[in-house]
Amino acid sequence: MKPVIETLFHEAESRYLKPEATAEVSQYMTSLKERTGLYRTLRDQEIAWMQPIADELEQAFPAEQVTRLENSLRHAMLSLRHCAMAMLMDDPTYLDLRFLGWFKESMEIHGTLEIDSHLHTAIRRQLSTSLNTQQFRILTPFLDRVKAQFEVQAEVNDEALLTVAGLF
Amino acid sequence: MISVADLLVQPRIPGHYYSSQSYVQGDLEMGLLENRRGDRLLAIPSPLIEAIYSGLLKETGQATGLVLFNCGRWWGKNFYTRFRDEVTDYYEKPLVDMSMAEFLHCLKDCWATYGWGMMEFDQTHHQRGFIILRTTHSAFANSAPSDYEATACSLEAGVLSAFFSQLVGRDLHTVQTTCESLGGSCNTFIVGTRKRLEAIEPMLEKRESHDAIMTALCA
Repeated sequence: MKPVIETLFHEAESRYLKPEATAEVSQYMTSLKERTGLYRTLRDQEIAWMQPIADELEQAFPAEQVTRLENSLRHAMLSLRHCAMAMLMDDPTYLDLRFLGWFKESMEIHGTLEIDSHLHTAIRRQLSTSLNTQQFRILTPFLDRVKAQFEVQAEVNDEALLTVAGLF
Repeated sequence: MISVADLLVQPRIPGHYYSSQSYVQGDLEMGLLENRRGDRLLAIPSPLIEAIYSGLLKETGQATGLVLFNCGRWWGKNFYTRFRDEVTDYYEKPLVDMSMAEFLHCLKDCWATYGWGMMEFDQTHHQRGFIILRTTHSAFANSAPSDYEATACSLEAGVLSAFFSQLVGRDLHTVQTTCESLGGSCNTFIVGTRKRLEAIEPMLEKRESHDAIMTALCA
């Protein structure tokens, strides 16, 4: 849940909540219906929205190995699932701690920054046309956190070439 | 043509398995710590590590490092088994089929989530048959007595030697060349075959630099 609200609940013995705190709780509760609705939509439309993106991806990267494209598609869906959960709880740290650091390192390892960045743009395009303005607005801060991961150019990592079986 | 539905037939899309937020779970009332599969975890407070050092130093003196190393080897065998089972189950891929980078990504995350510290891997000397690992924030280096004059991560060295031995199916040894407890910026470990590493034991005893030891090993 929104981290600020979570801390408020521990302060009952100190005082009643200040007006700005109750306003924050109230705002979150009001938006919860919308967030739940958006979460359901993202869940229900996952395959329907991702399939055209997958088709387009194969055309955009015709020379790329299918397994690498599939891997990037999985990661793109994973990022959207994490965005959806973080959005539902209005908790950006959920996304940061459970996904983004891992995702960035994973991209560097597999050298898929270009594919992943392309996919992210395609997902945003899909969402901006399929969701209503208000829904897209709620989701955008979380998508932006994912987008920020593409902005630092990954270094080529030659560890990827070595397999565990090849040690010693 | 890629079918998205086919990509989703497994119960999950594998992601950040060792995320500390999802990996470490527990029941505060029962005082239980568990990992996400329900295996028990053990939290060791710093005073216990300090007590292990003082107890061992009193009982075994200079053999303290060796005792810790052997404990680490024992621990490392179980650690490897758990790591292998968890990673194989979650990513649905045997360890040997993982790329080295994927494997190390998991190991680094696991090492950090278990509270062992941060780990970096250097494969510069891989062709010569050595893996170099550097760790920081080691609890054992941090809790070593101030007059402990040797490298202090013997337990980790033991864990790593058992871990990599199990991984590659050969008897490997691990030596530590730098230590945070001795003012080093990190703890450096060399993993390699026992015979080759035992040849540089005198250099370790004289606390020669990591670079000098690597030069001797690769000569």
